Amino acid sequence: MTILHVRGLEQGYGRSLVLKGIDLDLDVGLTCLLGLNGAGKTTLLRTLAGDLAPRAGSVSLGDRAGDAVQDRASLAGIGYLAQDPVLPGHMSVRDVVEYAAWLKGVQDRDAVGLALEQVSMSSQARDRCRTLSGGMRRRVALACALVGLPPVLLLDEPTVGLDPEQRLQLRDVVRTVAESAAVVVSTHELAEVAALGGRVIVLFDGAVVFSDTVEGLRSHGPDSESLEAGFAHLLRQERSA
Amino acid sequence: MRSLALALRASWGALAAPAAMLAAVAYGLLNNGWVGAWMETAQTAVNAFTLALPLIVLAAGLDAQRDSDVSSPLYPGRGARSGVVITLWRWVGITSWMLAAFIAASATLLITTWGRSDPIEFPWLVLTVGVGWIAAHTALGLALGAYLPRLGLLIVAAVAPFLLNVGLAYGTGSPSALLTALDNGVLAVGTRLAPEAAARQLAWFCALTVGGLIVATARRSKPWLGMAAAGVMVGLGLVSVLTGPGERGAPVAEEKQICAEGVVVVCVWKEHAYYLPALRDVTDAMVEDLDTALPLPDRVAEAGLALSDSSVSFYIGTQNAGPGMLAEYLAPDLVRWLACEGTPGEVAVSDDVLVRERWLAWRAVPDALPPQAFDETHGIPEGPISEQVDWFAAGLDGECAPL
Repeated sequence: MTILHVRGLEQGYGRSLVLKGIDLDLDVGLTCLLGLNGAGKTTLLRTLAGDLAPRAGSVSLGDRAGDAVQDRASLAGIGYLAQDPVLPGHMSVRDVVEYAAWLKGVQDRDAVGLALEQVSMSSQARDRCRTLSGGMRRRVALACALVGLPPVLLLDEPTVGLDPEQRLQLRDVVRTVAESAAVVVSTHELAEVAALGGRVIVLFDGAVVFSDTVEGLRSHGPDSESLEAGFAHLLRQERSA
Repeated sequence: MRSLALALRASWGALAAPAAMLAAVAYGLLNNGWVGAWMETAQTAVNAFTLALPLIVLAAGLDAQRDSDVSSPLYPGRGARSGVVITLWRWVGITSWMLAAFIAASATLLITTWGRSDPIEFPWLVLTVGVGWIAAHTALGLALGAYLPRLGLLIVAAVAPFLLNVGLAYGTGSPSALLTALDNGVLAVGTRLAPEAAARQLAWFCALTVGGLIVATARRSKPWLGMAAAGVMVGLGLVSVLTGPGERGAPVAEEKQICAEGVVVVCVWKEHAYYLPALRDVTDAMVEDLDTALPLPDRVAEAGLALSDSSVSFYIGTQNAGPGMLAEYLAPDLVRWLACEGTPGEVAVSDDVLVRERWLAWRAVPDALPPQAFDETHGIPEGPISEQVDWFAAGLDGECAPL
């Protein structure tokens, strides 16, 4: 079932156009958004999350009519984790997640506890954010994105800066959430794509140039031997086009 | 209620409010020359909070800054709540903290007056102006925090109005309604805040509050609206500065005095009843035996009480004034009255007059150094009291300049 429909999405900064007519349908499950630095991954996620008003095109959530990024009720259905999340250090973990729930208009009183449980931060609920490690902070930010169980979850390079154990934990959380929501994980690391699996969308110069499974990307190369080879072949094709 | 509790927990006011309260109480108690009657005490509480102005603005600014980073999971642009609701929610949080601190500080100072001072009126208007002043400055802080992304800039912006306030309130002696809630000394005992002045102040604070909230809300979605609101606020501020504060003090509706019989009748405001025994003794000691050479007033009354030609009016300028201070306050006014024999007039300051004021005060407080110790050139007789009284009267002859 398609949850998020994106049609002809254009976005830019000043005179430069970063996203050039993106068409996208997101279903329940995990989608890796792959691209080189500067391909437009963060801009796409921030636009879908409502941070940036699109220059052109539309984004709609489920059966809801109208543009999701203009409609506050729809925005509440999209969870977003920024690349390097900043938390208010003086607030407790629980208060931060409760604040995020309030911002989204989440009424369920158990939602905060559930979100903390999902990211394994229940035992640190009373801790001040300034006392947390980098990995814990990212988990708190993820809990903010998860609270209220939004049907769409956008994660911008969520594993950058995490140690191997934290990466594994976060991947487990992402896979679990992806069973009932459309989860998009942006990354420029092929190892991350290989570890997560699922669908892969490759963004190149502001446009979607590939949309298939991990295996599909691997077999895109001339000898189907590795993801790197498949991805490199795809980039060569696009550069020469 | 959950939203309010969350707003309180999320606000930097949780840290700033106790500090603001302690600063205000310390100022009020150390500067307790202004504490004594209820109006004076309430005015002191309000003014003491001007010390906390940087803290109020800074805490509100940090509340606005907290989520302005797009990397924050609490970035308001992504939520279901509108910008207006979020700004109001923040404002309620920080304002609640600061009002709690203001109420606690005011109550602490008023309790110091409780029991020894029988209030003429509870200072509702003064405290209401204080509430409006705080609400306006939290809104101003939110507006500043929404536009200033760095802590350093916010600190500068928080301290600048404080310095401006100090300059306006204490530098020129003519405070503006722009930033100062009340001027020190406006509300002496027997006066209250004029309702017209309070209404004018509150109208300005309301404009500042609404303007600040619009500016803070419009930051992301409608910057032109924020700029327009800021322009209106600056315009109103200029009008406020240029038109001045107006008349702020007004007499209390009912004169309430308490008097004691002595050589002459001594009266003070009911709120200053605790001065009465010492003041009667001081007055008696001063005027005793003077009637052999000079006419005496019928009545010595604290400033603000109704007077007749035969009354001496004087002002008690500090709290906890003992006999020595009371004598110092009373002596110049008594000398002027005696020199002018009750008619309207002024006595020019001269060595002759000053030594006679000192002589009067010394009579009331014999433990103090006698006037001879200060000045041996004016020929204070060391003989019987009648000679000293004659010397006193002779020195005042011709000193009065009729008004």
